[in-house]
Amino acid sequence: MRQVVTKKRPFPLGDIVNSTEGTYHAHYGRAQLNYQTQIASKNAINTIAGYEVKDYQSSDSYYTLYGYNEATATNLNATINPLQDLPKYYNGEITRIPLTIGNNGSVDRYLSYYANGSYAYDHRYILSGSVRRDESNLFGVSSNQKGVPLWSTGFAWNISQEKFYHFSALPYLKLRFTYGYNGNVDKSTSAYLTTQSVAGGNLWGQPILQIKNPPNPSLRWEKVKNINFGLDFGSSQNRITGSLEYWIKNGIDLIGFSPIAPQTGVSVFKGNSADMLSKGIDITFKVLNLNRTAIQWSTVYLFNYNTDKITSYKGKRGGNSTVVSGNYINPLEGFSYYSIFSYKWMGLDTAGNPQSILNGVTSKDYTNIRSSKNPTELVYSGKQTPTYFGSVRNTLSYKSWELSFNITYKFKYNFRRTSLNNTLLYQGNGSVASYQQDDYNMRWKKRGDELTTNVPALIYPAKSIRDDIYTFSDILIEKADHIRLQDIRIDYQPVKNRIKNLPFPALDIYLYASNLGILWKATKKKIDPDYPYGIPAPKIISLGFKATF
Amino acid sequence: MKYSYLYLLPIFIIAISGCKKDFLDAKPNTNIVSPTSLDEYQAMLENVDYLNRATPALLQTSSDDYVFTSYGAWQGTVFNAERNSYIWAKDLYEGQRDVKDWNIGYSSIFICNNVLEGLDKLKNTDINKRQANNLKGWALFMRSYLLYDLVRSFSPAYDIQTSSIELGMPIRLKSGIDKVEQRSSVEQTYNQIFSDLSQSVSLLQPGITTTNKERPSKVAAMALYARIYLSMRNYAQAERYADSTLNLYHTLLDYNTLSLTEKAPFGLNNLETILHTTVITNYYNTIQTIEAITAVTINPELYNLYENNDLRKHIYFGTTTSGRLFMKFGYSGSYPMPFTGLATDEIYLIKAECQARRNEVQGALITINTLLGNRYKTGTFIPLTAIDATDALNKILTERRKELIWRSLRWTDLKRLNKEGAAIFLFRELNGTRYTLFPNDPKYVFPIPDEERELSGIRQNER
Repeated sequence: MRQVVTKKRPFPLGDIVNSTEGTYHAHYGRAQLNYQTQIASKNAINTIAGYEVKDYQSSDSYYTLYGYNEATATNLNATINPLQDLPKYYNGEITRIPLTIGNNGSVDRYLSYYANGSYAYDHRYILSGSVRRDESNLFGVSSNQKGVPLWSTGFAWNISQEKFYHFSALPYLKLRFTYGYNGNVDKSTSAYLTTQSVAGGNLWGQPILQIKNPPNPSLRWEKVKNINFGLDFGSSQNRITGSLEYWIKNGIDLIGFSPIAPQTGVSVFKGNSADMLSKGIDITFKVLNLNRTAIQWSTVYLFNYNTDKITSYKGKRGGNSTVVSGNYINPLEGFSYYSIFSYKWMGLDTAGNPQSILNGVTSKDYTNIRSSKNPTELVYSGKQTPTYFGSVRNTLSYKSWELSFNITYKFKYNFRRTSLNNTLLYQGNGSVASYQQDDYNMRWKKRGDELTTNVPALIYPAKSIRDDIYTFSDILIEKADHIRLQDIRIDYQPVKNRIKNLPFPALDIYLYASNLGILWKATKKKIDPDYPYGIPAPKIISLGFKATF
Repeated sequence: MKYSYLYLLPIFIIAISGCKKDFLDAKPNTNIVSPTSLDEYQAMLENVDYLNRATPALLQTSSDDYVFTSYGAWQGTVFNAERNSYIWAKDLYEGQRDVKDWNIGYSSIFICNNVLEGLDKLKNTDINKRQANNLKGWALFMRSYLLYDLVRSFSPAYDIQTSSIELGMPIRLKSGIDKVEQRSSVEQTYNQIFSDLSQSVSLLQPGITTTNKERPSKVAAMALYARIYLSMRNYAQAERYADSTLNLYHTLLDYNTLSLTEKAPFGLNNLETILHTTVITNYYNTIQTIEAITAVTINPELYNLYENNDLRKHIYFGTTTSGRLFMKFGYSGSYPMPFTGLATDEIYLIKAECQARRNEVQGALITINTLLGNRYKTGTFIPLTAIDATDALNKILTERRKELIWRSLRWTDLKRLNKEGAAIFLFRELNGTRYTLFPNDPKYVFPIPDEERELSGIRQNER
């Protein structure tokens, strides 16, 4: 019996060409009027008004050619049936020949109007104001909502210019105050229902529109009220100069993600969700410790302090599991936006299972501990951003040599370290998950271990909620405070004529080393608090040689 | 000299003010659309990954169509709910978030609501009325179809005695996401399902689109009526709508024309399919109908019900080289997720069962034999006979079990039949432990996902 086998080639024989072409245009224009005048020698007026246009456009087009013959530049795309289901060899599933043909374009446009003005009297009093409006091609917004107004006003007082000022140790002293509003609209969200087309459509070749943004008729701009007090000073011969700043930012209707009941059809929603008040102090000091012709030594001190508090949260609050796993999306009123919350750790039970608290009693009811909406059962574990931070940079120069090094510090904040996590361990394959699990050897193995360890027993299959209680418990919180030697730079800049026969008019040789390591840290764990979950930034040493001809 | 460039200023001002309006109206991206036209609303409904390919998976993972091949295979499942639904555990999700059975169901209803609101806003008189009606019917039908899938998962079976006080589904008819709905009663939920369905009947296209069965039609609406009424134990209405369906469309596939060896014996638009839907894609792998899924096999008790001349035994099931039975691709063509849509075979079975229940034994046998005549090797089929209505009913129910395997219907049948007093006990054996699911056990109702409860505060099912 003869069997006739017909070979079918759904993919035409020949080369496959994938082509993508992109173009990008940027246009930019600005018209500005400056006006300066001096009236009766003591009055100075300085104004600027302008208008700015920006237009960025990009477009991409792409296609695939099958059965391509390079010599004749022909293809066999016409022989393909893109809607034909073809079996895959390895699992019997079906696939189709991807005919990627299409193009895509994006347009980003901005219009800005602005005006600044200042009036100074006798170099002593300066009154200033600025107004600006930025508009862009926001989608799904009526034209009067496309822009954001911003204004501020300020006053400065040059105290040292006053006749009564005679403090010779501080010949320069200036007080500043500004007050203003700015706003922000998130370009990714819209008041109307917006959808996005899905390339290729559905199985039947029909175009598809997928919901990208649910309608949000109550979408508003974010508004931030800024108040700033500043003090600038300088000692005689500028031995000590610096500034002191106190700021308050009051954010209203800040746009953020908040969880929402899935019955609505979406589970995360981006909208105006919170009000936040933040305050801070920034101090800069520059001290010239030593100032001789041959040797100079200066130190720059930077100090920052900041605090913030969610004053109101308009989104829905989820269960405690969403609070511990990311306070960002579910902030608690009265606490910092960057707060860390944890389950209260109640030790291991006699079988090595983690325990926390539910309705005031020790519990292993993981589901309900996680779902509980009583935030008082959680432990506040501090902030994940530093409350105090800054740096000290010393610069020493001696003749042709200069040495500078920068020491940075961050204080009063915490991080959550990783430990043994069954679920991740089993998925691990030796990747990220397992090297972070160095508590593996300390895990509970036999009855009695619960007295000496907090690392839960391994179980199989893993129970992710059991892992969660431990992973997000307060015993894994570590202090992140540390002092770091950020960088060192050594420069050698020989002065011309010091070296005979130097072929260059100027020469600079330098050695720069950064990420040099931690000088002190609060945690005893071998973890860099700046990189609690990853690999710390590597040390970088570079040697440079710069010559000018 | 000082003023020499000033003449440029008016030109500049004209230039910028002239283009300003259009300038900011440019779309940030070509693929973003704020839908306003019929074609755009249709494109939202063509989103088959949500509307057609996301029906609940737990209905299948909880059923007795399959067994795990070993304790290790059971331990090794990816999702908690996949494992826990097999032993009908009290805590089904164990903290698993994003329960798609619930979330995608409501996401798809959200799409329907947006389309319905958009269509209502179209006042234009010269729009294509036929397309507009069909789209409205389409959205209403799908909302009804999806809500029924939710209620049969997360609520007890309909019972005329108790449904007005039992907890049904939150009913969402508006797209606004700022409002949360509490749970309605089971009765209210069914009323809503029927309200949407009855509105859709006169709007939907009358015939099935033979080239794209993911679009609903009037035939699908009739078939859905029959399916729902059967599950409500309203057999008179179920039969009425089964008849209406078959009057419109009654084609059966003669399985003798199909390949016994191919892994995908049916086409995606095969003749029996009235509406194509499947279980959620890429979710619970164990119920996928592909050979590579080694964790599960066919419930041997069920497999043994098929006679050797029954072509289904060869077309439904394959055997791996190691001798393990697996489910071949079903009515979803070569798409690996179980078919959950509407097809004529189910309608014949509904009709036959309803006939037997009203003692119409001869009629019932004719109906069931019409179906079975297409299932046996040519010349081998011996028509079913019955000594009385009860005998006929039992045989029809067995055929229903055999025909509708792996289609997410068994769980709903178990809930219904136990309400009828069938007293079906389910058992599972795992590592020496025996699990039993008693008839009418509250564990037949899946719990509301944690996320939903936390954020909307709706009431949980007692399990």
